[in-house]
Parts: sequence; structure tokens; C-alpha cells
Amino acid sequence: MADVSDIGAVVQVFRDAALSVTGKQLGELGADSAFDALGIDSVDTIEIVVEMERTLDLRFDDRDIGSVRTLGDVAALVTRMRAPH
Amino acid sequence: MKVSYDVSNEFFRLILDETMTYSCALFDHVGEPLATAQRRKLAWLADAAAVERGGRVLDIGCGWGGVLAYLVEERGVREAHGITLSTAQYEHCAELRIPGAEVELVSYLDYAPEEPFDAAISVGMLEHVATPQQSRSGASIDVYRDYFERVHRWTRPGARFALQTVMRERLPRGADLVDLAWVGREIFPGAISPRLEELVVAMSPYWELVELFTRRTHYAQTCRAWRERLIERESVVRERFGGELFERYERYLRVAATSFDQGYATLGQLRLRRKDT
Repeated sequence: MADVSDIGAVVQVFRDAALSVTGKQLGELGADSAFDALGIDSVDTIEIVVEMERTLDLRFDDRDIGSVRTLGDVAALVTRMRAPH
Repeated sequence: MKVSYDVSNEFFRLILDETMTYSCALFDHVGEPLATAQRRKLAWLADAAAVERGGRVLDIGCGWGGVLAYLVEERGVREAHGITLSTAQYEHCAELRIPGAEVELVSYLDYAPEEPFDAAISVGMLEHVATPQQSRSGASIDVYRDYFERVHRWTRPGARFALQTVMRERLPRGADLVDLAWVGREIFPGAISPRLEELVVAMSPYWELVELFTRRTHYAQTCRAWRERLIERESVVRERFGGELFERYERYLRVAATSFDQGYATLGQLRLRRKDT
């Protein structure tokens, strides 16, 4: 399950990244928003998540980037990367 | 499939070598002629599949028939059977009329041979088996497992299987990602290369991985050779097929070479032995 404690901030970063990559202004978004339903294909998703890496100054695992399907999945990735190791 | 392979047989005749092989060649040295390196690759495939004179061999995704012709003409195979989903490739193979070779226009999902084969070969086909959506959801493992189960079913006990496929490695960032995303959308929509770990998990009930080679430098060199031929024939390509096609393939082959040079992808050659119970 995604940790959505920071979901509001993640949504905004995602929204900006999606606009930058696809030119699409997305409507209402939440942790359960699925990329397929938003019309964001797997190639778009990779580009958007990599754009989020740049904004957040993080580096996700390549395999994780390839498997995210919802905004909650992305939020979980961000949370995990920011957790103390 | 149509986007990547049904452009025109004539177009591919201009950029490929005389074996009409649209997959990674095996080079002995930089500067070696492409056709020589392609023949070395064909020999590797036949050896890895333990092809014998008088045998029956299946080529899954047979392209323009380069493997089939090699098997019957150079290795004495009695029956080389190819399947393809591409109408243009099927028609080309039919025109060749290679004695002992037979080609069917059929999906591997619908294919049901009447008797099992002694050996199987598949080159550059596995990249079209799973969709990006299946890869994203993790369903691709089951798709690959189903593929390996089918090849197991189509072959006799003791069979060998020579498998050649592009494999995903690491994700690029920056401009290289933009280029690779373009290739994904424009050249191979709906296709995705497997990761090695997916293949190992998927094949294990049916096939023993005897030997694995990664040949990304060979594929980079192959792409550069195709691109050089394309550029040498630029005026002919532009005249016959239009400037847009030239520019698309020039970019695609440049990006593909970079992808292999940088290790974003690699080329796997897998020698597999059928697991018999």
C-alpha cells in the first residue's frame, strides 16, 4: 500500500511533471488515480517520473519506475526514498 | 508490428545486407563486412540449437527468411518451418521459394504444428510478446512463461532452442530518455523488451539456460552499419519513400546504437536445453 501522508505535495509535483512531458492539464487526482485511466501510457509514465526525480532531486530504482501504475505508487516511491536509511 | 516491419521490403533491401537479416550480427572485428558478421550469427544460432542434417527446425518470427535459407542451404536441414505475423515478410519468404522451407502467416498464439520439431530458433521476436502495460503490472512474466511453455510443447524431448532477444537494462535520463521514448512510440509501439531476470524466471519450468552471451557492442555496430547504408542511399530513399521515412530511420538507428553503447539495452543470445520429465 502506498504511504499517502505526503500525497498532496506529490500530486502537485506529478501534475507539473505531467504537464511538462505530455502537455496535458490533469483533472482531479488522488492516490488511487491510475495512469491508464488518465490516458498516460507507460512511456509517458517513465518520462514523468524521471522529470519528478529531477524536481525532487531523487533517484529512483529503474525497476520501480517501470512498475508504477498509480499516483499512490509514485507517492510510495518518494516516501521510501526520503526515509532515513 | 506493421509499423516496424511492414514499411516496405524494398526499403529494407536498401539498408540490410544480402541475407536480409534485421537483427544483431556477430562481428569478429570493427570494420568487418555486415554480411560476414550476419553469417557468423546464423552459424551461432544453428550451433546453439544443435541443428542436424535432415532435421526439422522451427523459426519463430522468421523475418525475411534469412535463417530458413541458411538452415536448408548451409546446414542440410530437411524441413525449416517459419512463422511470422508480418504480411510483407511472409510474401517475401513465399517469393523466395526456398526448397525445404515453409512459412506460415500466423501468430505464435494460434500456432499448432502437427508434429514436434527437433530444434527451435527465435530471433528478435520476444520483444513483441508482452505489452508495456503487462510489463508495468508484472503480468509479463506469465506471458513469457506461456511463450516458453508453447515452444516446449512444439519440440521433442532433447530439443535445443536458440533464442536471441534485446533485453532491457537501465533507464536513461535526460536527452537519451527523450530519444528512447520516441523510438518506443514511433518505431515499436506496443512492444517492450524483456529483462533477463523475467526470462530466467519464466523459462525455468521448461528450459535449462545452458549458455548466455550479452552482445550489446555487436548490436551497436550492427545499427551503425545499417545507418551507414541508409545514409549512403539517402537520395534513393528520399525519392522512393519520402524524406520523413529517411529521417525517422536515421534517428532510430542512431538512438539504438547509443542505447547499446550506453548499456540501456543489451542483446542476449541464449542457448537453451529442453527440460524433459
